[in-house]
Amino acid sequence: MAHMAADYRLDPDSDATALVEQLRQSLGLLRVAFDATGEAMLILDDQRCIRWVNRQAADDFGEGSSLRVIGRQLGSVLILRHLDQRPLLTDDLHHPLNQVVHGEGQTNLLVEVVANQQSSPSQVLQRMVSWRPIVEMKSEFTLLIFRDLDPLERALQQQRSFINRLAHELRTPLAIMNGNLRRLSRKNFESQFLLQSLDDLRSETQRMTGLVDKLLLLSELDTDRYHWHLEKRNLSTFLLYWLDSLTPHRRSLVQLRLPDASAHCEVELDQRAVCRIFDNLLENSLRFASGSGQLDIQVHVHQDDLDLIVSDQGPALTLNDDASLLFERFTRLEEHRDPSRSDGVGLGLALVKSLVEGMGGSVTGGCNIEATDNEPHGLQVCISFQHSS
Amino acid sequence: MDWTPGAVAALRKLHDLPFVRADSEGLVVEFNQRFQSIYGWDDHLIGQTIGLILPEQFRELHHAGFARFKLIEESAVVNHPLELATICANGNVIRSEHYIVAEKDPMKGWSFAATLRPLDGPYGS
Repeated sequence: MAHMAADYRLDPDSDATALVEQLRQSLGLLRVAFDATGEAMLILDDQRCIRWVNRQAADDFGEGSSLRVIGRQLGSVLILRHLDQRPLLTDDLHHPLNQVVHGEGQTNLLVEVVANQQSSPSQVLQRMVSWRPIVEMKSEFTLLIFRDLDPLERALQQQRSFINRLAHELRTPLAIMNGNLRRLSRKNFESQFLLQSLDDLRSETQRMTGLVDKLLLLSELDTDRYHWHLEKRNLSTFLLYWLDSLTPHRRSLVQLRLPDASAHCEVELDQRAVCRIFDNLLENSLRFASGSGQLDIQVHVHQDDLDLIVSDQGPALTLNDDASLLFERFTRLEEHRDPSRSDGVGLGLALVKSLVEGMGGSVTGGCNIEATDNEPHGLQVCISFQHSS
Repeated sequence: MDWTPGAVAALRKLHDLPFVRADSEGLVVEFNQRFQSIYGWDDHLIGQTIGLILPEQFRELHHAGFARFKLIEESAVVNHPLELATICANGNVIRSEHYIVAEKDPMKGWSFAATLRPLDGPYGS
């Protein structure tokens, strides 16, 4: 051992040289591996300047030469677009370089390669774009990965687009039917049977309209066609705006409890989405609650995030095993709550989940256990968002 | 193969163009008077990494590309002109057209040489 130590002291230069050689070989091997993948990879520094690319990225974005992209701003090399062609600008909160502050993630986007010469047409590629922060270094970097869709993802994408188009097509005939039924209901029919039939027809058409609207919204969220308008505001502003949008009767059913700690809580949310989330939760409450349909909203503020605990007073759930089923599409709560009520379409909570997650939040659900009797009383949904205070 | 026997010698003959050569480790072993007068580097550059004449944001690419070349002996940057920002000894940047060649000596291993044609400034063409 002493002999080895003496050797180390005697020849530090050769050890350093050997280490450099070893590191160089490792770097070369990594480079070969990254160049062999079909995924385009870019590493950007904290100034959004491209610092490293692999072979595929050089091929896709630099006409085969990494030197054409290194040192340039991401926005001067490629433009990201939503799937409906809307540009995803670099200051948009949904841009991967802004999302990366919340951690890693991925989304399906169109990537337009900025042409080097005016004459050459821009190339547009559909890619699954992943982002990951690299924080273990002295300065911050971001890894962007652009992956071609695999056959399964492509099929899913086509299916979602089909549902989107179908829902759009169904909207028009449903609107015509609704209009005709309204006109018919204004006539004076003597037959009670006819009146009842008309009434049934109207409520069924309205239910179908609601289903199509929800399907359309879900497919927009699935296919990244939903137009988000994220704004940073105080949490109470979002919630009070929703309350104001309700009819006086519905407003009286909501009990909103905002703690003092929420006074300075700012969240980045989309007001329309917030309204849709709470509209759906209130609808659920009204549908299942045998009494008033009261909805209780409590806010709990933590250091980095906040929880919105939304509880209704409907019958207890019988979802014993898997509460996540609540948010599955076409899970009809009546099967788990009250079989006598069958007017739901099973999309309300799925929509709530997609809208919450689209704004970077998370949602869980389960039984509302009352502290007074420790018994389950209804549905309790916990929605969490990050906040800045 | 991306290299041509005698390529370095052929480049060295182009006296009117700045010329710089690095060894198999990527360390500068020689440059000509034209390179010195345009880019300002003196003998202190000898033995230093050739990465010094590249902007900082290119250095990761340079080191990784160099390491890869030693393993697979292929490169997309050799044997054709490349427009690159080049750092002068005083920190100034001159946009230049680089033409890089690689040559393998049976005894000394790889050698990399480049001519640089300044595109900006008083020497720009």
